[in-house]
Amino acid sequence: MKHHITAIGLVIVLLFLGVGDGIGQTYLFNPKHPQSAIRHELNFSLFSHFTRSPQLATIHKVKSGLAYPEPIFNRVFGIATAGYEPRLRMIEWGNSASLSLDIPLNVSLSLVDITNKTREVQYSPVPVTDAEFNSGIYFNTREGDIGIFHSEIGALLSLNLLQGSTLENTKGFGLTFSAGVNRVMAPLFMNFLYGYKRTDYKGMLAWNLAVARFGLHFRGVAFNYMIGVNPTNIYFTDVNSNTSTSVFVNNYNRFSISFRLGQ
Amino acid sequence: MNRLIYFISLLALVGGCIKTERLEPFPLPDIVQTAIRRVECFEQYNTMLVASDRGLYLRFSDGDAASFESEQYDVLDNIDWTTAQVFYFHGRERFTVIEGSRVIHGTRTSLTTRVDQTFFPFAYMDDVMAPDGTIYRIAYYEEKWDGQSFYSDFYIGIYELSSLSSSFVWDLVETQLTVSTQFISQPYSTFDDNGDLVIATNPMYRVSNIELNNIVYDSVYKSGVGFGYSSLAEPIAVGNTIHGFDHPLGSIYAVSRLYSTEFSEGHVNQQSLVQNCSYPSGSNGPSKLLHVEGDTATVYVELAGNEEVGGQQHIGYYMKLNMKTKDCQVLPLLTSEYIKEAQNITDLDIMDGKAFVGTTVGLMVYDLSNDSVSAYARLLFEGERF
Repeated sequence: MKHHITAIGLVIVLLFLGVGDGIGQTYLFNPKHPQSAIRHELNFSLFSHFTRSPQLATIHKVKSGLAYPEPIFNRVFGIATAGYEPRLRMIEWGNSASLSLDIPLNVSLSLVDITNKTREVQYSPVPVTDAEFNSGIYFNTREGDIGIFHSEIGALLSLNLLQGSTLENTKGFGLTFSAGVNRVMAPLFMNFLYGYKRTDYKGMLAWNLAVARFGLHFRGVAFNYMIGVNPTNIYFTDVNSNTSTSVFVNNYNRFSISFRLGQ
Repeated sequence: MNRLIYFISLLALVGGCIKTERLEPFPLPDIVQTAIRRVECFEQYNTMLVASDRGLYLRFSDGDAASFESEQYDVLDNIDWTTAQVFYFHGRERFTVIEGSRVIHGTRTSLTTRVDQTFFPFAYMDDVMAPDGTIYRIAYYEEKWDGQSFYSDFYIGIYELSSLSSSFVWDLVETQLTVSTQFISQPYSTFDDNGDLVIATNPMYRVSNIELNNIVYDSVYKSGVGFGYSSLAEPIAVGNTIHGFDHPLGSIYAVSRLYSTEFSEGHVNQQSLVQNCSYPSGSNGPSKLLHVEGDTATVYVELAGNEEVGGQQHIGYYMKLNMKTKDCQVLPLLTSEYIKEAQNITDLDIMDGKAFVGTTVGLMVYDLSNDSVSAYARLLFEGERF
């Protein structure tokens, strides 16, 4: 119900802004004149980029005859991120609305670790030996973060309204709603101080997630918020407090500012 | 325009696609990572009881388990698991352990103990569970001598495990079933396919109704060349045939013969297990009845020490014994990283093609199809549910 009210509200706002006035002739992408249908953007974010992979493994902490499972995931905290994003307008409706295919490419100075919710476990996929297992060691850990820097590539289908939707639109304000897939590769550089090897973490260093993005355009500047749309909230019991807690995995959050290059 | 509204609505709805998962704590594992005392599997219900130095671990058919630590339940420290009888009643998902005067009921959430004060005048007795979950103790309650005969008669009482929480756990139902002094022995019992209680003494009794003042039964006397028993130990009823051993498996006496007889007057056939089954000389013979399916019984043949055969180290055997055709198939259990010595095995049972092996260091799972072995706790951690 909450979502329906939100959607209806959005539509009312769009009608108020006069989107309907500019919708008329439909134009399709013409490969002979790609430059008139591509918009280039550079984007940046600072301390506002955070993502977690889907659950990669389960560790078990044992206390008083009970085994408490906890999820392990790849956690990425982007300190500073920069990206380039071409936006290819596939369909234009008059001069106020368009549908575009956006390809965001990002590189981030980020801290990457394969860990649990409280980050006190730095997970190692090296299986415990029988001797370790019998002595009460149920999973192996690392000593340092797994690595730094990460990159992303995405494919988003965007509905662009008003400013920025077409070359001709002269409104000062615009909106973009996007949905698509983002692939995260983290880390780019393994922690060489501890000699971690990429091959030891096969399947844990890249993942795809479904994302949605909302953008506000003011002339040549846009503010974007991208979010993972099908995160998983994993409930588990904390071994120390014996209370239920939860952690979101397969999630994505990034607030960025982007600047249009050229028209 | 309608399409545009629809698309925007769809985008807003997408934000609500949050999945939820739960990781529940499960009992483990340190209870099954210490010296194991007893392993009992109930294959038809996919349930298991494991008793160790640290407590009791109950695994139920849906994979859930309950742990009861001996630190909290002192009674678990005092149980002699080698003589305890273990039952499982699926209707109430309840394990029952009977040892001496103690009766312990274990469920998913509770462990209750009753200490019995019922007086049993004679030491001969056997406990058996009816298909409806009622547990009976078959024991002699009285000896009568007519003053003329050389022998006296012992009267069999059918004691029902009371559901009332009193210190007198067993309710006696007196009967006119008797065993002469010359055949006096443990009144080993079982229930047949019809739900009738079979008491494998001589005479052999089949009781079809157990009610106070209304005991309905048949009896047959046994004799013949093969007759050499006073009662059939660990009786197994298959149709009208009753099979049993010369001694209880796992007792101090080596089991050497299998008896089979119809519930009718006449002979008791016997088979020499030593000759027919040729299990290794280093063993004391069958030590535990693991599984019965139709006419085939699977028994564990314990070894006192490793036995090298054809370059392989054997730590024990399990024997498939067709009680009708008398065919035997003796299969070895091989040494592994987890179980290096035969004497490390404390108990064993099988379920679903796997042997659950209790050892001095924990519970192991031995896959009978490929001889691979792993620690039970470790398999649980890896997500396996038995």
